[in-house]
Amino acid sequence: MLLSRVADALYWAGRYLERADDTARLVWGYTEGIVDLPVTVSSTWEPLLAITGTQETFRGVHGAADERSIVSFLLADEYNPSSVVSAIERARENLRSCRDVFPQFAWSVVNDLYLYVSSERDAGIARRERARFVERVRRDVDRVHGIIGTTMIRDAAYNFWVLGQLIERADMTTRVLGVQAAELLGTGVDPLRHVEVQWMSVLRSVSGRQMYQRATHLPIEGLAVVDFLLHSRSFPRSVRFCVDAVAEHLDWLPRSSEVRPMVSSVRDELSRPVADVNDGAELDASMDRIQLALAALSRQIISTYC
Amino acid sequence: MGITFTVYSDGQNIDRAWPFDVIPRLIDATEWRQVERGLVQRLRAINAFIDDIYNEQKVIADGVFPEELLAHSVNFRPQCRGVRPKFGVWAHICGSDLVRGADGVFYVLEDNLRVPSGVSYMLENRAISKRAFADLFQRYSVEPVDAYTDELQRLLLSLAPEASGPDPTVVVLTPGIYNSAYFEHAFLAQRMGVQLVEGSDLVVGDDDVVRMRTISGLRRVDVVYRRIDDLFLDPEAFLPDSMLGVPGLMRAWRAGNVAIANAPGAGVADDKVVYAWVPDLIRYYLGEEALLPNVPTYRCLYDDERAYVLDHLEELVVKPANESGGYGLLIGDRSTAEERARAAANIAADPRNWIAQPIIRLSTVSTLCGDTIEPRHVDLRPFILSGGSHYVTAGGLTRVALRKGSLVVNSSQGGGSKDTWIVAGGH
Repeated sequence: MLLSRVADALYWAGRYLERADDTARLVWGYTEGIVDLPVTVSSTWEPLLAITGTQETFRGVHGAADERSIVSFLLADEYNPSSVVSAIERARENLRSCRDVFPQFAWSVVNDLYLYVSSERDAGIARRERARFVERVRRDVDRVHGIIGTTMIRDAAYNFWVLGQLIERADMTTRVLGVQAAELLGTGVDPLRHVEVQWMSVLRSVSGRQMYQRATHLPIEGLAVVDFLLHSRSFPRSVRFCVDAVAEHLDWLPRSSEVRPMVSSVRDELSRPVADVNDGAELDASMDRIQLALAALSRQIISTYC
Repeated sequence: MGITFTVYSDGQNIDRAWPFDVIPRLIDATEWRQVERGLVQRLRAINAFIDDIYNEQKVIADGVFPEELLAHSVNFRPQCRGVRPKFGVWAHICGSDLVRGADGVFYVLEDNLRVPSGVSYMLENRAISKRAFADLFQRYSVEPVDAYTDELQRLLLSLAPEASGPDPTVVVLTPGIYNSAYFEHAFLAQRMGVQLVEGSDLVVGDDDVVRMRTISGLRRVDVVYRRIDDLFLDPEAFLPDSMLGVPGLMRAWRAGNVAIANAPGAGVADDKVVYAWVPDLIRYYLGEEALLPNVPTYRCLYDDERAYVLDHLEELVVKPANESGGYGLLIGDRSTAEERARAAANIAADPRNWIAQPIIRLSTVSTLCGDTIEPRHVDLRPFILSGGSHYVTAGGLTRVALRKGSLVVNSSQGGGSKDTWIVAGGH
């Protein structure tokens, strides 16, 4: 038996913690990519705003779109509800109202992480310190997953926590592809031949580089990366993997027939062939459609259960 | 350990860590058995009184308890007249505050019958000291306190209405995360494995049945352990603009479809004026003399007692009859003339609402203060469970006034706490 309010809190806690984790991975993956580029290549940090869909909020708060203000906005900014610090605060706030169902040690980790990021808010802004801040966030989120994986009973509370993560993760993967990949494809052949470096950073943004190579046995190549991140059945951050897992978790919940049509429409979008995968704008548009389908799925979960 | 206590009106910083002193307080088991008997006796009489007050009112007819007191009681709830909770018990969970006087005797200072808190701190304090003093526990036989949550769960299950099935549903009703004792509400729900609900999670239908909103739809609730004050419990019956409560909860309770612990209205006996009558109530209902003494109490309602109080303000502690948490307290020998004048004016304005007691030299126990060990004043709050039978915690929550010389132990006024060890065979 699970209270609707608690289901709602767990779902959003799952989403926010995943958002914090994904955003930290994204910022770090991007930072590593930029570090690999020769200083002669002009670098821009603005794609990070596009990926997280926060351009407008950013312009309302900051002037120049330089590295410092963008990274600060994505990691630390209290005015950005999706910043790592804000997302951790919200995850904690949601978990606070359902501490009775959430494993106590997992709560302690989230609480400690919250205390860390709120007192060291700006620690990740300078490049020199960034790795440490991001590591701390990723390590603690991994610990939460570890504790939950090994100690939480598999009941509806668990299902909602995981559903929130899966939907957030799928959404983030489509965003990375929509913006970063589409931009790369759009530029065609890069005369400076740094394309591989940039595809690597796409994979790194979703912590997929090592697994990409194990799964595909291919060198890093644009179309294969897109296919891997969208359709892999084995990579836990691919959109396909997340949607399949959503369907499995719904199997355990009552009244899931009300939600299934929305899962199907995400799958439909996912299986639609992208007319010309070399056309960046086209890829971006199809990622937008998947995101809309994911948002509709999320709304349906909330309206059915919460 | 994430234990916090919310201090109201302290700006943004609402969660404050709960200061814990590592040096345990020891009480001899033989002495504690006496205290337990006294507490059980007290609760039997108090519950008989509450049940009587909401029903026949024999205690008034027999001239033992003055009717005028009831008429002015802020905790008497006419909405509860005629209800007969199971076992005749209204105050299922009580936290009584005890102090040891200069004569070495434990006195009862007050009985918290509404939504007493602190039991989770007692349990967490023990968890900490078990880690810190694992070897000491080998040498002393310290009575365990962990059984509390099982006893509480057993009690709550026993309250379920006859009509509920063999597997009744118990919930803990909390005002939510901004309540000062939210940590405890979550802690108890978690230990008992029951749902922690907020008012908006519950709904009462036209059939006067309480249900909770779950992901599978509405599910019946049989027992509500509420941690919300009476007045916020049900906007239909009490404060109409309460956002915390459940509209219709009182209807369901009166219809016998749900048990509420503590019962609404139980606070009528949680009143520093009624307190003064408890020894009389024990005599009246049980035909026994009180095993645990009250602190002598002057009731400002009576002209002669009020005159005494006003003449001896410097030697007395003056307390409002219906405030908890140490707000509005006057400690005579530490007050300024101006504070005494204000207290006198308060008493004159509303005599029934004030009582006074001699200043008890609270006992002190060793407390770690920086690098040294110094004496600090303490009190003790054991918890008493009442239903078909009774249970008293082995010890309770020892609260300590951390400021040197201070007698105020309340957590909202800078107090801390200690683990309390009931130790067999002297120490």
